Amino acid sequence: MINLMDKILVRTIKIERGKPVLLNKVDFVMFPARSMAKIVQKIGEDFGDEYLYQLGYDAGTIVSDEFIEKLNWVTATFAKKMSSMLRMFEIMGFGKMQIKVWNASEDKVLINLTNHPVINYGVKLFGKKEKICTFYRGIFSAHTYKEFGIEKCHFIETQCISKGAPFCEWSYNYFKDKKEIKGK
Amino acid sequence: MINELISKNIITSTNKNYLEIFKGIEISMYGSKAWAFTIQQLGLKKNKDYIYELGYIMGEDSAKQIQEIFKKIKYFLPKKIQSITNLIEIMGFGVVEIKKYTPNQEIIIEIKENQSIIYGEELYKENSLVPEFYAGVYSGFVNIFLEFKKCRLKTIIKNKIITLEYKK
Repeated sequence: MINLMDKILVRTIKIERGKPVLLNKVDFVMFPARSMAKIVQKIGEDFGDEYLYQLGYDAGTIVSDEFIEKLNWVTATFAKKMSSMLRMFEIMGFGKMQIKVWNASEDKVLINLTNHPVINYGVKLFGKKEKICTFYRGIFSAHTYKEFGIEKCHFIETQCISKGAPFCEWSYNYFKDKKEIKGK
Repeated sequence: MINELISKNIITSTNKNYLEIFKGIEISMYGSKAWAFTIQQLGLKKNKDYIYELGYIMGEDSAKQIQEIFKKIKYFLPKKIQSITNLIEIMGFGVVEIKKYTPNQEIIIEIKENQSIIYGEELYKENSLVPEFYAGVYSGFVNIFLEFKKCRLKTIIKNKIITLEYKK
C-alpha cells in the first residue's frame, strides 16, 4: 500500500535509465547517508571547517542556480518557493527545517533542523567531533541567499545536536553578540 | 519506474519523511552537477588518489550496507548480482554493464549515463576527476560484492564511455 509520503515521492522524483531527476528537471545522485557522513567527515578532518563550509556553500550555489533556472523560481511567489523547498529538502534527505524567525527587510533568520540523516549518522559515528553540519550549513546558507534573497547569508551555528541539543540551530544576524564566522 | 520501485518496497519514504532503500538504507540526495564540482575542487586541492580514496570509502561502505540488507532478506547470489546492478542504476551511479568477469582475477565494467561524470566532462573536459571518484566507488563494490582481494580499478575513457578495468 502506498502512503501519502510515497505519493508525494512519486510526484517529486523520477528515475529513468540510471538517473534520478527531481521534479523532472534537476539531476541528482542518491548516496547512502552513512557513507556520505564518512566522506564529509574525512574532508572536514583533512582540510578544516572553513574549507568544508565553503565547499558546501559553493555546491549549494550550483544547485540554487539550477533550481532558479529549471524550476522557474523567478516567477514563483516566496510562499510557494518556501513550501516547495521545505518539502523537497525533506524528501531529499536534507532534514526537516523549521523557520523560527524570518525577517527579510533586516536580513535576519533563525532556523532549526532535525531529521537530517547524514548529520544523524555523523553524530552516531563521530560524536562531538562530527563536522557534517558545517558542510550542510554552507549548503543551506547558499540556498537562503540565492533563492530567498537574504543578502549574503552565512549561517552561524548556535545549537548543535552533536553537543546534546535537540536540533541544530542556525542563525544569521539574529544574535547580535555572536561573531559572524564562516567556520564553526 | 518510481511507482514500481515503491510498490516493490525498493524505495520507500521513512517515518521521518526521507528516502530509504530496501527499508534500511537511508538516503541523502546531492545534485549531480554540484557533485562534479565538489569532486573537482577536492581533487585540485589534493590529488587524484585522494578522490579515488573518497570514492572507495563511499563504495565500500555502501556495499556493506546493501550486503547487510540482503543478508536480512535472504537473497541468493544470482538474484543478488542482478539486484545490485539495478540498485546502482537507481541510485544514479550509472548504467552498469559487466563486460568481463573472472572471479578474483579480472573484471571489466562499462558505465554509461552517470550524470556526475557527464557534468564533469562538460565542465572540465579531459581534466575531469569525477571518473576517478567512481573508479573508487566501483572498486569498493567489486571488493565487497564479488569478494576480490584489493581490486583497484583503472579508468579508461574512450568515446564518452567510461570503462573500469582490473587484472590481477
